[in-house]
Amino acid sequence: TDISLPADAPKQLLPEKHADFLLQYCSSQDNYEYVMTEYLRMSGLYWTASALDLLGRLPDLRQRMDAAAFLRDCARPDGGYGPAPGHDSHLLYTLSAVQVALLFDLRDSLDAGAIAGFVRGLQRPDGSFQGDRWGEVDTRFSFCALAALFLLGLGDRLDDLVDARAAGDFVLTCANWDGGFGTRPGSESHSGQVYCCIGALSILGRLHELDVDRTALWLAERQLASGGLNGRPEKLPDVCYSWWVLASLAMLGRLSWISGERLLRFVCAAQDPEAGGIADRPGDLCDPFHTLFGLAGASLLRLGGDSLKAINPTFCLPVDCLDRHGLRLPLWTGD
Amino acid sequence: FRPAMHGRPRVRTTEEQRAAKAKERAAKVIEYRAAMDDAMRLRQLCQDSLAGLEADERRKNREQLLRVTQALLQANPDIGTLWAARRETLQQIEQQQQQQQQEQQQQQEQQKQQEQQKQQEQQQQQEQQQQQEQQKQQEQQKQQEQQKQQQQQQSDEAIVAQLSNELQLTAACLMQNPKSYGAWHHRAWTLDRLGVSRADLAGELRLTRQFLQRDERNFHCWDHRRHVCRLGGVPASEELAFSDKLLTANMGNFSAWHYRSRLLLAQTDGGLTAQTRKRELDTALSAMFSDPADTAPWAYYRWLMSPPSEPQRLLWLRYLSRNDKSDNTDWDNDENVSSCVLMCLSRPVTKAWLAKLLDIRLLPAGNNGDGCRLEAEDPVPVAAVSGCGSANPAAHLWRLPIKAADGVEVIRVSVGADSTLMSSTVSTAAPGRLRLLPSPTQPSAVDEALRSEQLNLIRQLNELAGDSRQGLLTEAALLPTPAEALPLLDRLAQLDPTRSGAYGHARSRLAVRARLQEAKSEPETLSLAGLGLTALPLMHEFAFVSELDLSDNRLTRLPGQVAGLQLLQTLDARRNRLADADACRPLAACRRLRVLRLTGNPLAEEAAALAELSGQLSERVRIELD
Repeated sequence: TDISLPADAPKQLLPEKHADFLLQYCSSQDNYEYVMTEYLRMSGLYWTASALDLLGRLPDLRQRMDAAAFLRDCARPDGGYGPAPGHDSHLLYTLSAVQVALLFDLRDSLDAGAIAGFVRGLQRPDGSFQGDRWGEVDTRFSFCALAALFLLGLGDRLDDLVDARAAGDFVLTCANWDGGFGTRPGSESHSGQVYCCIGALSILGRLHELDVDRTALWLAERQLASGGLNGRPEKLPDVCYSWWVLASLAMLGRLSWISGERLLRFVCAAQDPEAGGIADRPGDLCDPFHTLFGLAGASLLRLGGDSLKAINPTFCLPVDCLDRHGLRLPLWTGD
Repeated sequence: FRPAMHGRPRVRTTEEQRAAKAKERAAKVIEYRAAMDDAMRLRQLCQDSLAGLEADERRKNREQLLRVTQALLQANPDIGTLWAARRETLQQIEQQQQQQQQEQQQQQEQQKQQEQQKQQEQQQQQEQQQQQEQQKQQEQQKQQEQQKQQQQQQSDEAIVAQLSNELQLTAACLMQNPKSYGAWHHRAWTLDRLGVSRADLAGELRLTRQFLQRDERNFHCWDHRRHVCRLGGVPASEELAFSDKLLTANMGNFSAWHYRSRLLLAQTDGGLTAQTRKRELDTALSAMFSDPADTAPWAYYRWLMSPPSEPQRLLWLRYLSRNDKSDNTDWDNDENVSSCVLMCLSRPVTKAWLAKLLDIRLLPAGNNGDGCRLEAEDPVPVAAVSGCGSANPAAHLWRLPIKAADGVEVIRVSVGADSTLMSSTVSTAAPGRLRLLPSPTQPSAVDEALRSEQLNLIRQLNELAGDSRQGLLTEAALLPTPAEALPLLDRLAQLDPTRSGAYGHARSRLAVRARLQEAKSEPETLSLAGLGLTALPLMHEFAFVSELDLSDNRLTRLPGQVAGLQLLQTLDARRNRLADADACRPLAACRRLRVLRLTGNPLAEEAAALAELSGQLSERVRIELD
């Protein structure tokens, strides 16, 4: 299972085009896509803003929207954030809100204590996190919880705020025989979940408890002949996995285990040379989600030239954004 | 995880088509907005204090909310807030029904009491009829009990009916959107509320089977099936049989192999019995032989044959003393510390771990008895591998500061507890002497006869099927010694250049391991020259070296663990691929470094880079470029 790259697909990165695409995408509030994706809009804003920041064009977005107001309108009484005004709070959108606040330099407008309280209230006795009060458990939420706390500057107080040990123990129970990680204990390995689990363990400083080579080999096996990366065995390649897989390998110090050049060729081929933006695979419709992750992957590989800022693999935020806020997570340097 | 658009091709459209679509979409937006606003408004009404509304109105609002949210969710089951609104409504209905039930019961109790009073009065007057009255009372009680049960059942049935609605709705949503997190979760929530006694678990298993027939890799569906099995206490043996069926239909079904692995591990509490392993190996092998191109069974097979992870081992100790004239470093400024022991463990540990499991004893000359336990100064990690900030760094190497007392000759370091205890000693009379612990022979969970038998089978298969990635990886994993695997890794790198970085890394590890084993007699001067290294693993194992030869390799950078080479004086890195100062950054931590050889690296040709490197290193380091 793979695709072949069309002969006439773009072979270079087109940063200018992507900036235009991103700005245009959220310019109209009546835009169909904008309205119909209301249920994840906070994340949509984060994808758009982070991608624009990588391209050095975030100021253009700042001009066009009142991010502070949007954050305010999405804050819920329980301390968490919803995806859009009127929607319930959830860990996914709470992390996105913190990321948005960092990008727009609105960190002071966040009530770190309230958010921490919201996060703590979602941890279960087995160390897992549910996404909201209705109980869905997913290792994505473990990552959201820990990353949100870290990005609020609470990284050295994790033990006080949540049961950090149990959080890590739970993530480790989701490790599978093949080196990957799943949604819950027993779930099949999936690149997205691997990213979240590696990210969580990275924040907790427990990567040394893994069989790193086994996990890295599973990740390396995601690369197909087309150069693209898939989410798990026998699945089609998808640009977003360029990020989940690549960032995981970067966190494990093994970026060289896949072919960066072939991956970049795939990402370039997935661009829309006319309207800009990047799609999940060549020829498909583009969206901010895939645009961010395609650019983020290219940035990690340092194959974007000067047109892309350096990106942090754990948080998918530009390095200078984290530096600006005094946030530093040392990368693992083990074997 | 797939919130945005996937698998939607860009299609060229005419102006006319675009206009028509825009019109259609504009209408949809208006419709959606109206419905969402309606739903939010109704939800607010339902949530608000219900005192102001008539029961009838409340019921109508709830029913309308359920109708409006149903339509929206069928169009898009990922709008989480709408599922939440439905769950709240269901809870309200349940609460209200319980309340009504209670009220009815109370009324009945009151009636009963009134009747009893009446009867008592009559009894005083008509004692003849007492018996008849008693009978009547009993009958009434029975009737009331029945009524109560009926009402309970009705109310139960009413809730079950509501929950069944949710099952129907989620099923309808999933038919259109089989990967919707929101729909699957709501379904699981509904089942939990029904509970084992009321849910049709057999039906639910059937449903998962149907969805798996459509897409055997749908992990949402697999997770749901696991949930149902847990709820219903379905035994692992039944599910193993289920996975058997799926694999018989398609040996390449990764999800089914994965399911097997977890079921087996759950059955045997983490370790496979020899019998189980053999049976599974046979199953995997028959799949591999019948279609070697199918990758799933190979991965499963490698897992079955994989050795247990290496246990924690104390690798080496080295005693360092301030008084040692041959030691040319600056010691730390702490006047109280006169010596230290450098300790290396095979797997990184944290300070918290050491606090529990590290024991240092000072034994006087003559070495009698237990010696006196040293209240250890804080152990200091050397070249930590990880740690958020410095909250809890993990490291292979630890510096244990020792305040040696007079007459102490032997320091015993013990790590671990009970059966895992490892212990060794260093002598203060011979500072700088390395104590290298022998590697214990490990009993392998995979016995030698099995390994040998399987290796033959895999070789046969590879001969039949020709060189393949899976075949070579598997054969390499079964070889008894590292050296034998090297040529296979080379073939793999040729066959599969995409992953040559991975194979190079594995190859480097094996080559270093082999060289370390050879170098036992004079370990402090280690040569890793000419091994084609693309990576430099296992550095902690030889972090005691004073001379290291890395020449004629393919290193593009010196990895972070180089900082652990605290005793390194001479490093020969000639003819590698070090391109800039950054590639040598970790050397700055090697306090005893005096000579660095760099000829034959791109870095050696760049004056600016060399200057930068010089600036990073101590002025005592001489960079040789001959």
